[in-house]
Amino acid sequence: MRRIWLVALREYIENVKTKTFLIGIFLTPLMMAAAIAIPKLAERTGPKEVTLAFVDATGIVREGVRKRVGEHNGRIAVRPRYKLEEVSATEDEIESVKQTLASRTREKELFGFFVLSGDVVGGKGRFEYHTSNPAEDRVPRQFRGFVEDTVKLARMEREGLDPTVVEEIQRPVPLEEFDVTKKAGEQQGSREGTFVTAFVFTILLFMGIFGYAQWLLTTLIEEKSNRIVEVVLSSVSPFQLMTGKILGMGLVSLTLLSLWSGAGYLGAATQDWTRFVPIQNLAFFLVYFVLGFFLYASLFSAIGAACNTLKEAQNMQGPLTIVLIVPMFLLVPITKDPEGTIAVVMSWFPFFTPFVMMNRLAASPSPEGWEIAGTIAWLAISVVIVMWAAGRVFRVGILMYGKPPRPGELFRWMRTK
Amino acid sequence: MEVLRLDHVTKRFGKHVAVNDVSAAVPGGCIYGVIGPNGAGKTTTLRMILNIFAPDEGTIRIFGEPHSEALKDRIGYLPEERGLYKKMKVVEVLLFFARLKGMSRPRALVEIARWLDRFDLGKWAKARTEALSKGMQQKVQFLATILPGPDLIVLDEPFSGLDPVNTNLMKDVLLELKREGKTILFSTHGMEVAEKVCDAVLMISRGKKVLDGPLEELLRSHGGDSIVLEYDGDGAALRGIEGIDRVNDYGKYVDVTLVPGFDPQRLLGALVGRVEVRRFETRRSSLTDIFLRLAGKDE
Repeated sequence: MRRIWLVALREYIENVKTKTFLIGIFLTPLMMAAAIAIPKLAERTGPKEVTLAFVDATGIVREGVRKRVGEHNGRIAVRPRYKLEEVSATEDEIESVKQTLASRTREKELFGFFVLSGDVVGGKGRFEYHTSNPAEDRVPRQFRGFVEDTVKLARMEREGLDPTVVEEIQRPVPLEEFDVTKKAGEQQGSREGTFVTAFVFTILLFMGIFGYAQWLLTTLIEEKSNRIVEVVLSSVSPFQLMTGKILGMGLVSLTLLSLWSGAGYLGAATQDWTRFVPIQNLAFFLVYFVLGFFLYASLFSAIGAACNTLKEAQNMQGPLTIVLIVPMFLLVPITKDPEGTIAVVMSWFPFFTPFVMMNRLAASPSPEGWEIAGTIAWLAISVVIVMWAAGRVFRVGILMYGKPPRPGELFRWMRTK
Repeated sequence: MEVLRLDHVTKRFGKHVAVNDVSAAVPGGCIYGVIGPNGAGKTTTLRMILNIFAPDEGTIRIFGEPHSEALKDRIGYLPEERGLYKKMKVVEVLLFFARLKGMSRPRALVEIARWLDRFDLGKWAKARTEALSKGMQQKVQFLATILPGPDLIVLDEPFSGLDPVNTNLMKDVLLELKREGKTILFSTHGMEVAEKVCDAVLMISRGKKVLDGPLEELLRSHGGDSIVLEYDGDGAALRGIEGIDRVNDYGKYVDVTLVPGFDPQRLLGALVGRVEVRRFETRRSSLTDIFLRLAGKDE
């Protein structure tokens, strides 16, 4: 045990000190935040104020649009604000007016211009937008709203309807949703909350397990190729070396996950989102992470021990990577239907258990107590079996140089004395 | 006291027999050489002693007992293929290996300081091992092996790649450790080194034992007379002369091993007239001579 611990400690300290780890702490959440923030930021970019010309040959929409643009400009933090230049024209003058406005637009005097003609209220009119900035889609979107609202009002008046009555008729019926599996009377949060939590938990688990099991494989191949392993093996048994390295690297991963989820939890608390993350789920996360990490890391160590170069290892770990990705594809279906056949059956495959169960725990309804206990026990048994088998392969492979073994040979290694 | 005993040890890798029915006994407090050419099975033998491989047949006993986890702390091992953690500092690496062998941290730090000074590496203590020259790295690896004070020190080709100054330093340290009562077992394909420092040897070739025992005894019983000969004339002239067991031509001179009991003077007599003898020097057989004679017979 002393030896396992010393190996683990060295592995931990040396990896936590690396630049890769330090960069990983900040870079990954930063990239995630950027992925969320950039589309929102984009809303706030673009021109602050644009000048537009509005040609209304019908003469009945102008006023309504002016009023709505005024309301729009009066709101805080809207982009862009509009400076409206109203242009009067008869149907006959339209073509020449359009030409003048088009040249002013090309000269950047105008951002663009709208032309309204014909019997719009009767449904036979034309509504055109001319601009030199077609990529800025907020302008036509908003003006379409202004014009449509105005035209609808005009149509109601034509039919002799009172707009306030129409508004009363169209008032929405709010729907309140409750989740009876949650605390009594507690309102279920948005569906988004559940989805986000399920995604975050499953993806964190995936990154914590896959990222660091892979990293473990890399360090192992490096140590094998620079021939340090034999020196270490004169002091520790191959199994102690493997276990120590898994433990150390697992702690590295756990450190990172704790930092991330700690920061994430604080962030969630400010948004009152922590109600989606019951404290017991954090405990389950720890259990599934530890078991899942030992399961995958022992397989990756066995592969690392059997190979001499990263390239060989990549070929051999291919099937394993596919297995690992399956739960990622099932994220949405499982979150939507956490008691469905797929979810329930997949929970019992040890290689999927951590991801699927964590996904189900974050979704609603939560799995039954016996399911949680049962899958954890079955996963723990699988970890012991896989570690034993991986240890056998590791022991033979770690001092074997030359041609990488074929899969059949790996099974023979398990049986060698 | 016997520190190590190999009893009919065999190790196979697939169809290849790496070590074939080797038996040997290593007395305590001596320097013991495992010698033989490349591919003879030396490294495999050493790895079995360290229990990195288990033998397929036969038994190995260390300090009178079969291998166990507890024994690992009493054995130091320097593999032939050796590396260091590149990003770690010299002190950290040595501390790690010392603690793996059960040394306490404070004691290890004292020993590390002492040995680094002795090996002239004091000012490199805080350097990353990747910054060290190859020779310095080799010294650090050697230190990692002996520093925890193991009773049995196993070294695989310890002298290969060392310059004469460091070879001498390492030889001195090995002799010093022997005086302290430690047992040193090392492998080498350089018979000259073995002959200089070993008290006893195990000679193997292609997995099989050629001979073993105390060096003096081996040289006495197996070493016939050997003659260093320089001459002008046709090299083929030596063929067919009576009493010659083996000729080893080094280009500038030839090494002639006589049939045991054959009088060198009779050879000299036979040579005169055939070639112009410029040097004729009798000497005792070296380990190399013995090895070539015994191992060569198999071919």
